Amino acid sequence: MNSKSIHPKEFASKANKDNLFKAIDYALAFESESVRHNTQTFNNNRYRAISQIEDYEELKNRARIIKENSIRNLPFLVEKLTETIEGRGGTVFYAKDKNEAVNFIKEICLSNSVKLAVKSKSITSEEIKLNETLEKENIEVVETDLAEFILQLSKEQPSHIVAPAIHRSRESISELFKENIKTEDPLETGEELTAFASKTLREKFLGADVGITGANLISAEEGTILLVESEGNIRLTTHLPAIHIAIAGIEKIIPTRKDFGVFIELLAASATGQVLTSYTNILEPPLKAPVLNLNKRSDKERKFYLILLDNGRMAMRNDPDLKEALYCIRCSACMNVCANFQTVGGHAFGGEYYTGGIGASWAVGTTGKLEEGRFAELCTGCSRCVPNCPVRIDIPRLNTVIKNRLLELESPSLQKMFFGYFGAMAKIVSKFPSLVNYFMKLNPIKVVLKNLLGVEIEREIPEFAEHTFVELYKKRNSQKHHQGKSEKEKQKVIVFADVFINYNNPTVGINAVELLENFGIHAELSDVYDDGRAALSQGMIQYAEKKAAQTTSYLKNLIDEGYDVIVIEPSVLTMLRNDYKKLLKDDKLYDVIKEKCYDLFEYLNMKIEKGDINIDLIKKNIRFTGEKIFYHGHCQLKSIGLGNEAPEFYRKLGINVEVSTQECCGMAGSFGYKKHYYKISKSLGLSLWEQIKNKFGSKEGIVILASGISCREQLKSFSEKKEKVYHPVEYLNRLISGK
Amino acid sequence: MKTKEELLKEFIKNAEAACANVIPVAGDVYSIKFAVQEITEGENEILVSNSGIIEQSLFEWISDDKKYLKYFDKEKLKNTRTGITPAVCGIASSGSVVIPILDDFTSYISMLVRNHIVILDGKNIVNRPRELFDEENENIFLNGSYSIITGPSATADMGPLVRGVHGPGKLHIIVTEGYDE
Repeated sequence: MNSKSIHPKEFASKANKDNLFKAIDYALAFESESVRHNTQTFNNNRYRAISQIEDYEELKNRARIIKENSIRNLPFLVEKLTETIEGRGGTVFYAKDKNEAVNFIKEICLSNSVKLAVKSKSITSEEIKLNETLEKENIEVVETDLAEFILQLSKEQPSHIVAPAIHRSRESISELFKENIKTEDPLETGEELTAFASKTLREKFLGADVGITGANLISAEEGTILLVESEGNIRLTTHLPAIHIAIAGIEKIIPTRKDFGVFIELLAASATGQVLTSYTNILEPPLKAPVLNLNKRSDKERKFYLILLDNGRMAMRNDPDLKEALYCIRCSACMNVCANFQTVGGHAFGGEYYTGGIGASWAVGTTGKLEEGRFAELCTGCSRCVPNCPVRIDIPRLNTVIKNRLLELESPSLQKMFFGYFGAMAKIVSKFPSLVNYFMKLNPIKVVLKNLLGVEIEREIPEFAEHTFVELYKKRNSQKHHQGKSEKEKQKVIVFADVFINYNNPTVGINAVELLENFGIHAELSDVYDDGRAALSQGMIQYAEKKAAQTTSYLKNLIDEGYDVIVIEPSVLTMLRNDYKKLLKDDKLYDVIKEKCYDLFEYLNMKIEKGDINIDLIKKNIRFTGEKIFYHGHCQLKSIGLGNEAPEFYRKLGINVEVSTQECCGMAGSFGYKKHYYKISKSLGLSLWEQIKNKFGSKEGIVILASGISCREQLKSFSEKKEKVYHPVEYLNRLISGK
Repeated sequence: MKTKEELLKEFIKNAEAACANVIPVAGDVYSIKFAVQEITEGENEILVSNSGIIEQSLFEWISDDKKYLKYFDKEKLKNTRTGITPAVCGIASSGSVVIPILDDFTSYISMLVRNHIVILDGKNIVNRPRELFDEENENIFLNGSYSIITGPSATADMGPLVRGVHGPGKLHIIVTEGYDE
């Protein structure tokens, strides 16, 4: 593939599956390096910025409540805002769809003899394809945000909601300018490129008849617009021309500007990782400042038009699931924190104008076409976006809903069924594991799996264990002579036998049981239950709901008997503690499950803290010889706040553990096994190994710990020393037993 | 609750972190004049807007020097490199200054010149951005239009971070330290 033989615009819409796959290949080949560098910079800065907001969680709660109330009262707020703006001499137009919006703006421009419009960044204007419409009327439209200026030249769609040209390096911008602009000015360095663009644009600003902006927020009570920026182009756009047109989705309205403070602090920190960006503009248009660009106008009055765009938003408001997307404040934190987005950016993980995890709902909502949200498939459900969203949007849930609706529209593929019904399939094939493992390694079978199920040929399907967790546990108990329960053994603990641990990784389960016993806690074993995780990742919500109901009904009885439940596989624990909230539709039951299901190390740390168990019980038996240890926290475990529990436990034993900063390993359950997504997954796997190498200087002699079964598979795939990747409990028991 | 002295200290630290050039002065006519002269050395014409939003004494120094233009036309506005405006208040946690948008050229100066000099009364500093919207805070400018400015105009859209894009590339803040407590 040559970067010039294909243009990103050709695969902007992901309604067609092939476009999605083409876009992934293109992004990996030409855009990945810039996207990864830039998104990770934003992400690291964001972590730093939010750590400085003392009441960050409380601020997020307030923002969420304001947005929920605003969307609930939206019709009233539209009415109030209209009254306020018109009372101040402005004009408000409610556009039901994009055609009404562009036609209205076109009419304003024609009736005011507009020749030149300067425009600041506005995704909403991209949504209605404003530039194309105005240009057809011979109105020159100039994008003044430098990233949009680049895109206007390259004719590409935005690849990021805040930094639309994030996919381009300085070198590629320099090349683009040289190819398209005749100038004597130097166009090499960032300073030269910026100087050239701002000089060119200053001329346009000084001659513009109209300035077009979007809006970050608008307050209904005062008719105040919040516009946040760094370059200063929005200030010039709103000041210099006599006419200001603002176009905003109706979801941007909140009741009063008194609430702007909450959003200003959250927006800057979440978007660019700053306390505030260079310019935070609080505008009550029409502004009082004199008009600079009179442009032979007979009147000297300013004019202000506000276009409130519906274009599917009211329908989203009535959709119990997609409504959630209306709370978005477009900060891009969900994109910058997303491992897949960091790898391919918005040209692949995005549609014609909306990008990233949150973008799929917007693509569906604003076009009315489910297929436009197909890029939701790139959301693995890793959930790293959830705790990092300033308005607490459950973005993975939105994407699961889109996947689910696509299944209903197009019927599930064999691939979806293969991965989604893993629990049922594992139950059958575990009857003859050796045979299945043997066949799965044969090339002809791999080819069949690839062609029939879309499973990547380079991947090894995880082996099925000779003996399941349940079998091993029973065997172990029959051999062990119980000497009656000690005081501490009276603590009622049960280890949950999920399908992944039971059929694929039973030794991890046994190790957990042994570690608990080392603390004097006798752990019983649950029956095997498919919690529904595998189905949910494929978008099979109804099947996952069924499994959730069965699992909780079983667990609830155990909890009522006084058991604490230990869940080993992170994706299963997250299912119980997070996803079940929506799957169960029974808040009381969900609260019971959430309260009593624990991660193994979370449980042990809690017990140590309470003084119920003593770390010295195992500390004295540890035979640690100073190996270098690297821990990769499971993405979902991090998202429910438990990413640091295992390293914390190791530290209590006096063992230092280096912790990975990569958000997700890239395997994400079945994602990395799918042939069309394998390259994204591989890129992330290699980047994780790169991090390990950078931390320790070489890959040799390093012990890698990962709690997730698929994280371990991913790490083993790209490691020469496969035996050195362990579950933290597995390695701990090796240190105790000296094996 | 932070004291005014603490707020000022934090303001200076954070404004400098945002790449503003901060010059703390005593607050008398001469100290301000001296600070302005140092920044504008070599400049022939400097636009000045005194919107009357802060204590007039902070602008008294200007009367005896003709290079400071209080009255100017739009052409001057478009072509002059340096300008001075008052700030209605500062924000400690971000090191920002708040420039009002009024019926004069104050806001224009703050966006069109390359070197923007701001005069800020050190008594008018709030702790966090959210306090600008706090009804109980009587000292600050709550209504109308304004821009909160944090450091020079900047972009990383062309690759590396570059300061000075559509707005001023340099932001100088002369902040008075004289507070009565």
